Amino acid sequence: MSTQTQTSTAESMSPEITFGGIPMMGIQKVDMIHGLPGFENLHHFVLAELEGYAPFCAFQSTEEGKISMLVIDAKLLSVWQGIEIPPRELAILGLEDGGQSEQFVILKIDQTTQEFTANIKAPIVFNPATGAANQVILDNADLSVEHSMQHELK
Amino acid sequence: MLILTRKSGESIRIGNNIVISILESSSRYLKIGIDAPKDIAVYRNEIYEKIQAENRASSVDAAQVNHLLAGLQKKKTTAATQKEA
Repeated sequence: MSTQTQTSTAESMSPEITFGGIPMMGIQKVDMIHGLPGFENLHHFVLAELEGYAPFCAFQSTEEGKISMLVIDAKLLSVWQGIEIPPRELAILGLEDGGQSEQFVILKIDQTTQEFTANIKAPIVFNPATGAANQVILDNADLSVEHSMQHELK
Repeated sequence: MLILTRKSGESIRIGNNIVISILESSSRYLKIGIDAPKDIAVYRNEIYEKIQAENRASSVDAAQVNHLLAGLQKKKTTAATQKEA
C-alpha cells in the first residue's frame, strides 16, 4: 500500500486502510495494462469506495503514493447514457461486451472554486474478474475532458 | 526522425506486425489506416497529450481529500436548502 494510506493502531485486530483519513472500503487491485497516460511508468493501483462520501472512490497508485485521484462510476452520470466502449478496447481487457466491465471517470477539482469536472473523454475501463484495466480514449468528439459535475451531483 | 515519402495507396511497415497505409491524401489532410496488434495502443497524439495533462492535473493530495469532499458536501447541502426555500 502507498505512503499515503495508513493503518490504525497496531492494537487493532482489523487494521483500517484510509485515504487521507477517510476509511477505504471494497478495495480492488487494478492493473493498468498500458500504464496511466501522464504516469506511464505506473501500472499498479487500488480502487476503493470512500466511507461516508459515496459515490466518490479513490484511485491510488501502489507504486507512487503521491499519485492518487478521485473517480466516480461513469454509469452514474446522466451524460454517460448511450456511450459504448469499442469492442477492440474490451477485447484487450479480455471482455466480450461492455456489460462485463466497470467504467470510472477521473475527477478534477479546481482548488480555488472547488468545482468538480469529470474526464468523460477517457474513462478507466476495468475488468473486475481479472483486475486488468486501461484508460480508453473515446473517439466521440462531443465528449469533454472537463465535463462539469455541477448538474450531475444532486 | 526518419522521413519517408509515400503516395496514396502505399504503406510503411514498422517491425513485423505494424503496417501504416496512406488511404487518401489531399492538400489539407491525409487519411491513414493502421494495422497493428490489439495490444498496441493507437491514439491521435494531440488527444493523448491532452489526457496526459488532464491526469496530471487531476492527481490530488490524499491528505486534502477529506477537506475537498467536505466542502463539496457543504455546497450540495446549501444548494438543496436554497432549492427548497
